[in-house]
Amino acid sequence: MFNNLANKLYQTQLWKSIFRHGLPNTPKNQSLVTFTNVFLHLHSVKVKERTLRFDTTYWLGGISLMLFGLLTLTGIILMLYYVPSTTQAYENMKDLAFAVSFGDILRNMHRWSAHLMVLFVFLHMCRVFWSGAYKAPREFNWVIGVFLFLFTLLLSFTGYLLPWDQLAIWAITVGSNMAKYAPFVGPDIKFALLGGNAVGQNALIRFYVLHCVIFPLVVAVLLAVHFWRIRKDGGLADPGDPTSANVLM
Amino acid sequence: MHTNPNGANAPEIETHGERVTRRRFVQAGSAAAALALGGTAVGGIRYMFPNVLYEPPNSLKAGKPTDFADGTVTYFAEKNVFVRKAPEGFMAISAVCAHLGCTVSWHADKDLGEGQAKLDGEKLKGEFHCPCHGSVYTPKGEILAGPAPRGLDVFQVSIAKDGQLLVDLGAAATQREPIQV
Repeated sequence: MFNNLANKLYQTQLWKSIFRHGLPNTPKNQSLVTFTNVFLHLHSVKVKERTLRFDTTYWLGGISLMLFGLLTLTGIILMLYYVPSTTQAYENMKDLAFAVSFGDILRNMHRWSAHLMVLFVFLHMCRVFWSGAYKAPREFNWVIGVFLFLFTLLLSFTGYLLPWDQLAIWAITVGSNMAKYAPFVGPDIKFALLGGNAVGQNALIRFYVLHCVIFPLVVAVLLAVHFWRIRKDGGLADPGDPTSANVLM
Repeated sequence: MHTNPNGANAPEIETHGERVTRRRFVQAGSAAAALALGGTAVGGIRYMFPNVLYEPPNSLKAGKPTDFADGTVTYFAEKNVFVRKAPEGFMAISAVCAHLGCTVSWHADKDLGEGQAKLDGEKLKGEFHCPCHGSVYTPKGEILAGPAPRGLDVFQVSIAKDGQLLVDLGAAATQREPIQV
């Protein structure tokens, strides 16, 4: 009976208008699943089984992506209770921790995922470096990855100010003064970053917009290019035959 | 080779001594995923209902009861409510028209005319008029004319601890009559 219902569903206009292929039970349809899906087609249609093994990549890039997804989700939900105002931000943060149901666990998920994402992106870069996966034809994707690491750090930095406690204010004071040491344009960078000379309301709303809108959008675009390049550059770097003397890892 | 309940070609995952079929694995995995997602959804929905609100209090302190003279109707703009003082006591009457929510105004000199019949033999003067669609109410907030489907809301009045008249805008009065406080 279930099969009958399913077969009827596959014949409907709605189903056919969304899925342009039959069930993925033939090699052709299995390829079409990837070809016709905007999200899946970033990936290769076929991958070498060996490159999917845990000890090939330690799944570090995938873990980083999962953390980014978790951060996006928890971040959007946290925005429902957070107002980026110097008079409200700290109290909103305390409310999330003590008064909002499940607010504390959400905030801590966001916080710990942020710490872990910096760690795992770094470890991912280490793995790529030590296994030589940055070499031609993958140099461009390595550069994309360096920018992704940079924006991970920038997301971390801008998120640091949002609780608007003493730690946040002084950390951003120190951080923006470090930017001031850049030659020639340093003072201007600091002024533009803070929207003024000190960490105040202008700085808070700037960091909030950068943290919640601009940097996540940049990362999302870079991620799409990053994954698409993996496919265009011949899939994940193959560590080679493990019995050979020339294997990289 | 052991027998496979899902047919000879169905793949299996070998474990120590036990055999887990693909079907069993997918069933258990789906159940665990459904449980996790369901729990997350319940928590997420609960999160949407705040436990602490920073809204202004839903009540009005209208001043000392002795400040009001008999037969007067006083408008409090910040809570959009009238306090009417009669010899029998106080009434708090909403200024929100029962039709579409405009603010009604008090006209002390208007004659109730045939509307007196609504007042159980009392002799009162004055009407509440809605400027938007012409609804008219008695000094007790009863509907006299116009499109409003019912009278103006009336609220409970009491005396606060500091001796002021307290109007509870969240609680409807039990009767449409002035009461002693």
